[in-house]
Amino acid sequence: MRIRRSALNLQQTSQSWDPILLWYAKGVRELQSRAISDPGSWRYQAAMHEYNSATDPFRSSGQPLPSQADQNRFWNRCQHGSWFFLSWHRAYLRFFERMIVAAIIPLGGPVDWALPFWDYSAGPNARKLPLAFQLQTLPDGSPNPLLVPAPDRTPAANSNGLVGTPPDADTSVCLGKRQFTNLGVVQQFGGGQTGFMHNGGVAGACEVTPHGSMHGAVGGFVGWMSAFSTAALDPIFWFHHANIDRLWELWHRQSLSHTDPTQTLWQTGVVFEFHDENGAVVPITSDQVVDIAAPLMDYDYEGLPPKPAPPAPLISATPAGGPRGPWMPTPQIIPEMIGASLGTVTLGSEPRSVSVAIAPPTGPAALLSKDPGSRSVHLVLENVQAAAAPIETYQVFVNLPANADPLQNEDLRAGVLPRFGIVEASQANSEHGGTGVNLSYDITKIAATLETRKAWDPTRLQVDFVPVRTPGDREGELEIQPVRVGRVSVYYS
Amino acid sequence: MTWPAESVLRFSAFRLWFWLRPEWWMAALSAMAWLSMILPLAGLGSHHAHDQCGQHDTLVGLVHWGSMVCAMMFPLLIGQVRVIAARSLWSRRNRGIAIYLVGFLVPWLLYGLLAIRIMRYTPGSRSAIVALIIAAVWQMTPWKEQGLRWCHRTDILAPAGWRADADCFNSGRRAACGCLLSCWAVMLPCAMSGAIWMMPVLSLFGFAERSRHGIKPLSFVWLLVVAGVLALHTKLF
Repeated sequence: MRIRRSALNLQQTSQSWDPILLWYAKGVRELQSRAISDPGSWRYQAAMHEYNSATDPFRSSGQPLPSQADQNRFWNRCQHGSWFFLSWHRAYLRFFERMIVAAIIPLGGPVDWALPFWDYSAGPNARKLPLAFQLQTLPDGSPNPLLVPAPDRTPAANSNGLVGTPPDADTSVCLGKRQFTNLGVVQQFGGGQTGFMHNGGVAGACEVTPHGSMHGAVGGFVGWMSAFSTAALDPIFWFHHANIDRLWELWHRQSLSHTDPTQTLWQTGVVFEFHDENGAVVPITSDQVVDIAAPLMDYDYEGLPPKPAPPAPLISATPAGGPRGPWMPTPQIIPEMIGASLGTVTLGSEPRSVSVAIAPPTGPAALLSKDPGSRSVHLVLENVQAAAAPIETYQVFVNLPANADPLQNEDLRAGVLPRFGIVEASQANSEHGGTGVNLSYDITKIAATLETRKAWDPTRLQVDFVPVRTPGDREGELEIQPVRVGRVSVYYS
Repeated sequence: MTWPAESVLRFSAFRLWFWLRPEWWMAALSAMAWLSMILPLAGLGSHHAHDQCGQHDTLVGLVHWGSMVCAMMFPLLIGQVRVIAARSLWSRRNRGIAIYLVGFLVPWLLYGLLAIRIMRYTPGSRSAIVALIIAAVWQMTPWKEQGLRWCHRTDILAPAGWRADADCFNSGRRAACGCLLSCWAVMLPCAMSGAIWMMPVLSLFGFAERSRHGIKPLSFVWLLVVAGVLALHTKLF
């Protein structure tokens, strides 16, 4: 079984590359040398994620594209805002890994080569891109195919600077989720039940942060990683997604109750198609990728805990208080909207606050318990749209005191509003007619904190958007592109 | 804060079922509309009446048309209606859905007035076959695909008051405009032909198209097949 290792543990200097990284660079160079009509080429693989001729940086190469039928079948397949996000990307990564292995074997590379992962949440310096992605040349003096010069990456990425902010790389929220599938606006780990293709519902926690936020952190304002159609052209994309894939496996291993959807629609209802290293088309379903030790996947991650052992048989069939235990599925919860903003909220380069009037619940949330402390509270940003790539990303706070420093009030931060995917979901020809993305944040802990401080107003909630611009990201060069939040709403569940 | 699982367990399964399916009464309306089209109830929904739709006065024709829209289109709105319910205050859920449906019906009924006029001059199976061929051609146009995309739009709603009512109405109206762009042609042969089997067949066609993966119209060939079956059924050839 191949082991995917942390790129941070692979020692490297400009003259001495770790063999795993060096073989990756050679494999990438080989794939980049192939024509886009070849499924084993770099550009074809990236186009499987999404292709847009208008934003294709290599369109002037003059290479003929594959047939329209081929494009319709294999390109623009990426899954976002969907419960297929994790399973589709896992399969996508595995077949890409096989292509790299097939490309490096003739060059003398190892047959058990495995795609490393970039664990940007491992420490204070972990948000620096691995050095292999920043160097101009390989040890033999040839150009480094892993380097993507600015502005196609945010400038800090290629100068050994930190990309993004700590909240962008935060994994605590997604790993704290108890279920895979969202229920309405109540966000869980893997996303909401959807058909194949993307957007329309609330994205899963892992997809928003760190996935979307780190895409934007590396890509910056106009970089490749910030757009669906160019993201997979940047070689760091694959390390980033290996980390997202690792987080899914880590979430599995945290608890036996962390299980994937059991619905047929998720497991076998949608067939993904990929090319293997020989060019053969391989159909694959989500249930085939869940077990990474299975022959089709056959890999593991460095540093993950072992899978939890199944529970010992219960002596008493039904414990007192009902059939409960950590392995029991959590019952369904009904989110109830208790208040929303009036009108669209436009975000620019200045902080913006929105006041949301909230009312006592009258539905399921009112019946749950008379104790407000037993409720979960969710902040939802609906129909978030942008006509062009926004320069800023935003951090979202709740009841931030006037003139307060956001950095001193991290316990009031609901999360980040990443730029990744917003423009694509706002285009009229997108699947949902350009209605944008929907983001949900569990603010239960913030509500509890505010209650403790006697600062929780049961009739009104203030939501604060604090823009975060990456230093040097073409500052002052370009006009501010506003982000429009259709509605800010609050739910109890 | 604690997870509210204990409290949730106290809800009855019956109550939970309805809470999770706020569209239940819309589905019931659709079922009633189907019955009214199939069964000769009060002379409104009989096969015969349907067949002669174009020859009735406008009001009766509009009732038939409205029933057909309720029967065929409401099941396609389940996802959108759930969004309306989820985005409304609990006390406004059913009101929001009702206003949304009214907003949805208005453009369809206006189109119905035009359709009734067309059917007055071109009733019968031959016209229905021509309409099916037109619908098959429409399947191949970019407007069809755009209409399908608009069918999947979600709109923002004011939380309360007349603005919330207006937003629900406009959301329904916009959904109907997308639906009309997508399905205007395929609805005509249903009303023209008088062949009651065409309604469930074309409903399934619409359902498959809405729920398939990705936004792609179904092949026009299916509609040509329906046209062929209709021709055989009515012994036109």
